[in-house]
Amino acid sequence: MGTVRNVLLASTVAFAIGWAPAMAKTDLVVGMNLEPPSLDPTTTAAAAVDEVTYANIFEGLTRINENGEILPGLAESWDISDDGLTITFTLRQGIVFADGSPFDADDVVFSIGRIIGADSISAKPQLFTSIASVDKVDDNTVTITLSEPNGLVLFNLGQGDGVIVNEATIDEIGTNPIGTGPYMVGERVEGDHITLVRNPNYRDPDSVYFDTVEFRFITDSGAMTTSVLAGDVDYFPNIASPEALAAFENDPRFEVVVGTTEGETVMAANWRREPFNDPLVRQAIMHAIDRQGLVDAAYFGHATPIGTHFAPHNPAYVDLTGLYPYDPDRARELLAEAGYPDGFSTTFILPPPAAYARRGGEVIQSYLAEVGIDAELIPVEWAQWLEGPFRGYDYDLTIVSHTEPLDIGIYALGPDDYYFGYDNPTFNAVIDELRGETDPSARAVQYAEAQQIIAEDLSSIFLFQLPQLGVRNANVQGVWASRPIQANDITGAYWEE
Amino acid sequence: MLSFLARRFLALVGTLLAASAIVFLVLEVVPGDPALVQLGIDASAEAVERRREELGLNQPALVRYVDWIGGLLVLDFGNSFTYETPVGQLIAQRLTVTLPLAFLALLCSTLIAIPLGMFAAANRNRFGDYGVMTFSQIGVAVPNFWFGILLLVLFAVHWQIFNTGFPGWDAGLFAGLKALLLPAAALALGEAAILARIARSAILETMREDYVRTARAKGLSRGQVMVRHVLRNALIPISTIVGLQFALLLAGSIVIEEVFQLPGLGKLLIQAIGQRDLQVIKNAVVLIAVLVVFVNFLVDALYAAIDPRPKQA
Repeated sequence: MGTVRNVLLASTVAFAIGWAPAMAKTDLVVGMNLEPPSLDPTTTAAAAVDEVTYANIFEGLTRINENGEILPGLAESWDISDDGLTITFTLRQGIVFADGSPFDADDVVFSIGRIIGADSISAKPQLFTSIASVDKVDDNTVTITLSEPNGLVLFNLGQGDGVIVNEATIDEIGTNPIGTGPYMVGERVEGDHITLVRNPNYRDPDSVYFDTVEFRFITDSGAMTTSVLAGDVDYFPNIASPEALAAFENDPRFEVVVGTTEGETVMAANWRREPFNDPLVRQAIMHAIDRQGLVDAAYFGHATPIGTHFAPHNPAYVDLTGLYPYDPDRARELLAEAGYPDGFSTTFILPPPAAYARRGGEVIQSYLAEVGIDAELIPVEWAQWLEGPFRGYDYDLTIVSHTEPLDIGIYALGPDDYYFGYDNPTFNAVIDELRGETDPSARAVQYAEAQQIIAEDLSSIFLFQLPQLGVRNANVQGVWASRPIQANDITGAYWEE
Repeated sequence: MLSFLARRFLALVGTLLAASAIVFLVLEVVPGDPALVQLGIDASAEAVERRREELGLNQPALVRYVDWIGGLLVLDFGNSFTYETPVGQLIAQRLTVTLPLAFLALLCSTLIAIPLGMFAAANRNRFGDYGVMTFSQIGVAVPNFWFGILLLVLFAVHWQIFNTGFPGWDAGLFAGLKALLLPAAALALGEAAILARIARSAILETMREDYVRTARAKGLSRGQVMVRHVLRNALIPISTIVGLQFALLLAGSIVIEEVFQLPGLGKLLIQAIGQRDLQVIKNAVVLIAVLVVFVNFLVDALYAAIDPRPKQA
């Protein structure tokens, strides 16, 4: 009897306060660690720009999906000439930008034109150096001519840097971006959030699930955890507090999905300096570090050790972690052989990311101490890190995660143009060949060769692949588990009822 | 009175000039290239150089300083390096969070501290006094960011009666004030603890004055004496501390806004430092200096209202 009365009472109260049963939610709050400085993905290299705008606001000729596959985007199909030098794109018809202006071949010529050639304004012109020209054939057809065959061009055109922008509104792209995607910017409070609203001119309005999508920027890792626990953020694609994952895993309100990223976390040991220019010392350092132990301590086990600069989820990946396995005795022998029987002292510069750099740095320091290497930890701010180790090449040891997809080629940039200081002509030749190879199986062979060379040389001390620690309300569905490119594509997301 | 105000005004201008020169020099010395920070490690060297040129970073330091001060005089703060929007607009938007937060915290701490101080003084060396002093010890010892996290965990995560973040004043006065309540409480605790001690000793001091004894002898009740004679005179040292506390609250809000993820001036400043958004940093610092100097100026003017003596001096 008491139960019945309580139920009646509860339903009366619910009715009185206007609690309609199970109304579908049409908004989504997405948490992000870093805020995009500008909203133009083509001229800014910051990952956060792509993470807000890619696919949600801007689309490219091709489109990359959760698995890193190349799908049709604004081009419905393409045709590659036999010599691999000309790609003819057939554009989708009936597409309109958010400001109402129609999309056609002129927009492609404009957008690609500004990121290629000597006066490219792209922040990453290296993605598009092989494109010699872009030409309109008719309103719905465009050809891209390459100076040499390039196996990555379709993938790169599907990244945020290659998206199609609107010429009429280009001057305000940084603050009010107009694209062809399902959403546009509704409100922006700098330092706090960006709210996307529906693009009223989107080609397929019925497929747009949310009325608003708010990207909320939370810099403090404690506040990230709190915001999800309090129910104020529905979805954190990549939460920067691995220590909190267990709390979410044990709570049925939340779903935790650990995916992969393109972030190879490596410790650079400066090739320009002694003793790191000695291969024996490099091998000793690699033998000294237990990568699984590092992952367990810094990432609570949620990451994959790597033995080279390549993503383990890529089909072309070769597992080379066995090349210089954890073996402190061997490390001491090698150090003695190299002339450092008592080890040596050095410095280890740590940029800000707490999970991999600061915590990882402490763990590595203790492994190094085991074999007699005394590494003094120097925590720095990101701006200092960029100025010192990265651009000034001023460091002994440092750690960073390289999040650009398929970026093994950074080891071919040479000692004058990149902070590693690594230089191996054999490796550079393989990278050159790769650039011109379009056949996927041949590329896989060359990728394997490239991975092998840098793994043996220890061009960096390879640590682990950065995981994507996704936490979300258990009812949020259709989001990416992994991130093959820098993106938070929420165009397929929805609330499960 | 007029010369008093004029002297204060000159001091204000001098303080601001000094603050602007110091912040500019410090930012010149601190390592970090705003263009590189903005574009990231995957950007090409050419793209970074182009950005430096756009931001005007390749001009000599003196030219940039004079440009900045010239802009300040006509209230033109330039554009944020990071967001490309006017700094004045950014700061104005942030002040709508930070100023209410600081005032709310000031109000909370004053409303808690003065009655507590009066109560402790009235019950000197008795149980109530010890209670207040214990609270004060704890309040001074507890770091405000820790107390803030504790409040968040209890009220937002466990009971879920407060939200994290700030809904904006568009969501209504009540929603906005509600979002500021926990952070204000976190900020107020330490200040209230200090203020309660100051209030207690100021009141005790005043109670020893001859005119208090005279007032009692005239037949006024303890309560009447307390409010009319003791409190009014004790307010002079108390208001000095309250004025100083405003500066502390502004500084404390930098940490508290980070804990509660409030889009206030403090959070803007922290982000701007991380991003090397020099345009925002130098203007925000000067603005904070203006606020502090201005509040102290108000306090000085308030003395004149409470106590007529400085006017004649």
